[in-house]
Amino acid sequence: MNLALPILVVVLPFASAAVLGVVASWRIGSLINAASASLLFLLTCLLPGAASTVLHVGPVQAHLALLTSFVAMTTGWFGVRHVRAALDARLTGRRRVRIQQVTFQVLVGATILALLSDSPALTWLALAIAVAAATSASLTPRGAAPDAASRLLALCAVGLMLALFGTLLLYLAAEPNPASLRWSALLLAGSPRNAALELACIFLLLGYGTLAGLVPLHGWLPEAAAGPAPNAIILTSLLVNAPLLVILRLRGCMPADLLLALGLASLLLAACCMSSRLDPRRAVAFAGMALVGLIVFAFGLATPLHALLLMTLLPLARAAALQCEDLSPTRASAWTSTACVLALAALPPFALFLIAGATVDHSAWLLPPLGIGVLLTSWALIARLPLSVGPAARRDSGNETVALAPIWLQLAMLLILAVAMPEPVLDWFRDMTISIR
Amino acid sequence: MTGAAQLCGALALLLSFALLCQRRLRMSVCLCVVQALLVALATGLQGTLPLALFALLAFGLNGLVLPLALLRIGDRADRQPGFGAPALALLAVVLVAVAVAVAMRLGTGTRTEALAVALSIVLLGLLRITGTSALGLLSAQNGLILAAGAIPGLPPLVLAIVAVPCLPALMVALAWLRRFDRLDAAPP
Repeated sequence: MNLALPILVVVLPFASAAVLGVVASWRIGSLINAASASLLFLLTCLLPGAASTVLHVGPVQAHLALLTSFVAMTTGWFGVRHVRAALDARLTGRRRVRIQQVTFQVLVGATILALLSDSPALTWLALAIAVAAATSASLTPRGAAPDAASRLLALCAVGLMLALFGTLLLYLAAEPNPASLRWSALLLAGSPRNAALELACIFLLLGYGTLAGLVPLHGWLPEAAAGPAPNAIILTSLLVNAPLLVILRLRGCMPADLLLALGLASLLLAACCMSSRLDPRRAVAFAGMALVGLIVFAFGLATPLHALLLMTLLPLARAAALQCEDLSPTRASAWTSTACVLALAALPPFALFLIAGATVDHSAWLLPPLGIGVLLTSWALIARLPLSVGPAARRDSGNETVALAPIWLQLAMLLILAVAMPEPVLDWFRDMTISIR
Repeated sequence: MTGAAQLCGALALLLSFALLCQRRLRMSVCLCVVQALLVALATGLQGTLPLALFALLAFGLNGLVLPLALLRIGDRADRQPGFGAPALALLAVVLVAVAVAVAMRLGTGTRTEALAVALSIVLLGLLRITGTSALGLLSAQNGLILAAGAIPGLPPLVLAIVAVPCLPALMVALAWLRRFDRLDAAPP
C-alpha cells in the first residue's frame, strides 16, 4: 500500500479527468470534480512517510503536495458554485465547462507529478502537460481568445525550451552515468560542481523562472489569471510551486546575485504594474508575482525556512482572494473579500519582516528597494478596497455560508501559519529545511 | 562527431539565419524541413542504433508531420517583429556569440562545438517566435534535437521528450483553432 500510494495520488486526478471527459452533465461533472479533489486531499494526508521507487516523497514534496491538494479541494468546492453562476449569467457554454473541468484535473495531476517526480525529465514533462492544459483552458469563447491563449503558450514555451536545454545539460553534468540522474541524489550527494552543472542551473533558473512568473518572461501570468476561474486558481497559485521547488533544490549551484537580482526585479516590476485600473484577478496575479520575487530573493539569501513558509502562504492567500470572485453582495461576503485582500496585502510586509535580518547581513543597500517594492505592492492592494462585486455574482443564492466556509478555512490556516506558528508546525518546517540542506 | 556531422550542424545554423529573415510561409516551412533533415543527419551519423532511431522519429514528427500540417493550415498570424531585418540579424549575431561564449565554459572539443551550434539554433528559434510562433518553436526543437544527439547515454525518457515536439504541436493546433475558431460553435 505504502509503495503504491504516491503513484495513486498522481494517477487519481488524471483518471478523474478521463471520467469527466465522458460525463455529459455539468452538474454531475462538477460534483465529480469536487469529490475527486477531496479524495485526493485525504490520500495526500497519508503521503508523509510513504516511499516509492519512481517518485520521491521527501518532507518538502509531501508538504507541497498536501498544500496543492488542499487548495485543489477548496477550489473544487468553489467550482461547483462558480459553474452554476457562470452558466446562469451565460458567461460560458456547457461544452466549455466540460473542457474546464477536464483541464482542472489535468492541471492538479500535472502539478503533483511535477512536485513528486524524482527525474528532471519527468518534471519537465509534467510542466509541459500543465502548460498544454492551461492553454486549452484559456481558450475563451470567440474573438480575441486564441490570441490570449497563443501569447500564454508562446511565453511558457520559451521558458520550457530553455528549461529543457538546461535539463539536457544536467544530464551532461551527470556524465559517467546520466541514466541514474535523480533530483534526490543531486540534492544529497553534494556532488562535485562542474561547469556543465552551473550552466544547467542558469538555464533551469531562466526557464522554470518563466513558469514561476519571474521577470524577463512573466507576461503569461495576467493572461492566465484572466482565464476561467478554477483553472486560473490552480495555475497561478499552485503550479508556481513546482518550478520554485526546482529552483529551491538547485539554489546552491545558482549564482546568488542572479537570484537576488531576478527576485528584486520581479518585485519592483509587479509593484509598478499594479495600477488601480487593473481588474481584480490581474491585480491578484501581480501581487502573487511580487511575492514570488520575494521568495526567489529569499532563495538568494539562503534562508530556505522563510522561503518555504512563504511558498506555503502564497497559494493559500492567492486562492482565497480569487475564490471571492462570485459571491453575492451580502455583508458577510464583503467582509470576506476585504479580509482576503488584507491577507494578500499583509504578506509582502510579513515577508520583508522575515528576511530583513538576512538582507542586512548580505548587504544593507538591498533593503531600500525591497522596502519600496513591498510598500508599493501592499498599498496598491489596499487602495482597491472596498471591492466591487463581479458581474457573475449578482444572483443572490441561499447557501452563502457554504460558499464562505472554504475561504475562511484558508484564511484561518494562513493566520495560524503566519502569526501563531505552533510548535509542531515549526518542527515540521524545520524538518523540511534539514531535508533540503 | 564526424566531419560530415559537423558540416550538417553548421548548415543547420545557417538555415536558422535564413529562417529569421524569411517572411513567406511556404519558404519558411521548406527551410524548417531542410533544417530538420540536416539535424537528423548530424545526429544519426554518430552510428549508434538508439540515436539513429531517435533521429528518424524526430525527423518524422518535427521535419515532416508538423511543417506539412502548418503549411496546410496556413498560419495567417505572421506578425512583423518590432524591428527591421538588419536589427534582427545583429541581434541574431549577438545571440550566437552568447551561445558560443556559454558553451566554451564547458571546455573545448567537438561536443562543445555541437552544443554551441545547438544552443544558437535554440536561441534563434526563440527569437523567431516574435514572427510566426509555430515556426520558431519548430526551429528551436531542432536545436534541442541536436543538443540531445551531442550528449551520450541519455535515458530513453529524455530522448522521447526531445523527439516528440509537444510544444510546436500545440502551437500548430492553436493556429488551426484560430483558423476555424469553432470550439464554441456547438449549441449550448
